[in-house]
Amino acid sequence: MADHWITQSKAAADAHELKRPVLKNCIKAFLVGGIICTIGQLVTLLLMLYFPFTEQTAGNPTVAIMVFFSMLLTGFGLYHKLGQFAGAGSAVPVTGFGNAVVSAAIEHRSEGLVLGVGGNIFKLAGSVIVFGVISAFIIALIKTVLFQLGVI
Amino acid sequence: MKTWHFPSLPSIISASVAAGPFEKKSPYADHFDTFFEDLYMEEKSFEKAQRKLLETSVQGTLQKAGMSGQQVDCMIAGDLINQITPSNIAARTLGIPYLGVFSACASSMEGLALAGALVHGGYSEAMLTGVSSHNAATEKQFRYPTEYGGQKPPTAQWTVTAAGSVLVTGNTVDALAHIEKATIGRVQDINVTDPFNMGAAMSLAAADTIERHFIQSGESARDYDLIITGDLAEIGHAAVKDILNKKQIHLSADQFLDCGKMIYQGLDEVQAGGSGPACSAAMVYGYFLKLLKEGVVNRVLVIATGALLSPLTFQQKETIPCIAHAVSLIKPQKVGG
Amino acid sequence: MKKMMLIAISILYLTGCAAFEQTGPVHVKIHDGENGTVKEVAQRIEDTKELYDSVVVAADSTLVVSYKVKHMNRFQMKSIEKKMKRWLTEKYPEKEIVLSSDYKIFMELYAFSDKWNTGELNEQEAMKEIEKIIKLKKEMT
Repeated sequence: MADHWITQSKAAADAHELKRPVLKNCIKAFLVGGIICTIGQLVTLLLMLYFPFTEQTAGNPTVAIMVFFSMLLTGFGLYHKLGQFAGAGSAVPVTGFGNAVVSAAIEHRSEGLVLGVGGNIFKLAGSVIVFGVISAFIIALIKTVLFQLGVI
Repeated sequence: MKTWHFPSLPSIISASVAAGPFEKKSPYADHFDTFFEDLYMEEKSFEKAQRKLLETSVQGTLQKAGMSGQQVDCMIAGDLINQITPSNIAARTLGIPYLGVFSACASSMEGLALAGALVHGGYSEAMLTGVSSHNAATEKQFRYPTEYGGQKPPTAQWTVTAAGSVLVTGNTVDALAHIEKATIGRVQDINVTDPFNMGAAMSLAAADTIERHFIQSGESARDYDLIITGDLAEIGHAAVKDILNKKQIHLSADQFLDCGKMIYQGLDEVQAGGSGPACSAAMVYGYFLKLLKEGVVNRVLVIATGALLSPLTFQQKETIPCIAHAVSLIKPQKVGG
Repeated sequence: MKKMMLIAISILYLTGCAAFEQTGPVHVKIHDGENGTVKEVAQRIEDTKELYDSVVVAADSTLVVSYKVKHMNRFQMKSIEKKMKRWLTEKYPEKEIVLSSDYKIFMELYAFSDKWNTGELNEQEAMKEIEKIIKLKKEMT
């Protein structure tokens, strides 16, 4: 009898569930992500025009500058509004990484500098770093093996 | 299983609600007593701010009743943060004997039911009961806030930043309302694992408590002017109605209300509605008690619902167990009248 | 808010266009006798339909070539460069060949050619400039 009501209730709850508007979210993410990347491109261009950076070398400073932008936006409390609107569009570019680091640091400031900020700053970004390093290692391994075998 | 009856009709003699900046935009903001302009409330952390909310609310309640902390026998309080520390520390400041309770968002009605029982049983003459919640502190405790760049689904709920408290004493006509009956809930689990969809998870718990309250007290939906759920919000509230329909309990739309849906009516950024123990506390202690006092409604049944999850359990993929406590309130009257 | 967005987007759009419009082709020979080389290389770039706009700088020891790749062909950039490099090394085995599709190198070469054509530089200074550009091109990070 109890099981009966569990399934009944689950069905009733599911019937009223609001699905995530996936298509709408995708479009918003595409537009906002695209705009963020265009701004990044602009930064690259400015670096090339006014500083001795080539397309090859402008990448790293561009990333640094974009992260800096998102840190400012996070600090002023604007980035989460963008995050709720754009979802993946603002989370996937490197600005999302900057946001994750800074917001965690701000949130845990009340627990002190060492245990709070230091311990929690990579609460979210930590997994990005870990899996980034691991996947880079695996890809490099595959490439090396293929090179040695003479496939590439 | 029994519903608790309080024939001596313990009285709620005063109530006070303190709320945060966002709640000022609520259509029911007029019924809240104190507001803070900033989420930090001049404190160093959100947790400290939450404690301040509860302290402010309790002091407001005492002031309205013209009583001091010494005259109160015991305070029952609860909240959502780590081992209910905001309540614990507020109790330290207030210096009132204290019982900490936890039923997540159902703590408000758990406290009220216990206060009613202790006063009716003659163990206590004046009981304080209150709950608090703070949006930022709760987000930090339970979920990844949107500040981290995540996107909330439309089923997500917005934790209310507020604290509400009431003072319960023996029967007096000069009351806001009387506590008449209380039904303590059973923990129910319908295998929802998504903490962003708590309304759905809590639906069976609420429906079960309502059904049991009616059966055990021999009443029906017609005996109540209003049946108010705590923080089910859009999805959960609609689901409860469906479940009750299947159980042959039919509630009309203007009789069956939800604090979570009401408190942020017309505010877009909250997704499905409000949540948190203070959601039901703010609406019931702030708004519905006034309706009872003014005689606009005669009897209401308040069902506060709580999702008993912890950050650990949902990361370990446990389903969310839920509970609901019901308390029926009646407008001021003499015993037997 | 909407107005600001519109302005921001149009600025981005315009800057994007300005950066990739055609400015060349420009051919520079540092030493006499490289006339033929410059012409041959320029012709070859002209014939490659994925490319537009080029700067060719030829000295007796080095040959610096920069070009822009048409937007839709940017995915084939690597293979185009490989083909070009092979052709150049076979044709001019005695020269150091520097080949780049990098926009920065293009700009630097273009600025260099301007200076050279107005006669600001003598032969030695020109070779130094070229060395500098080659060094910039070889930087990886």
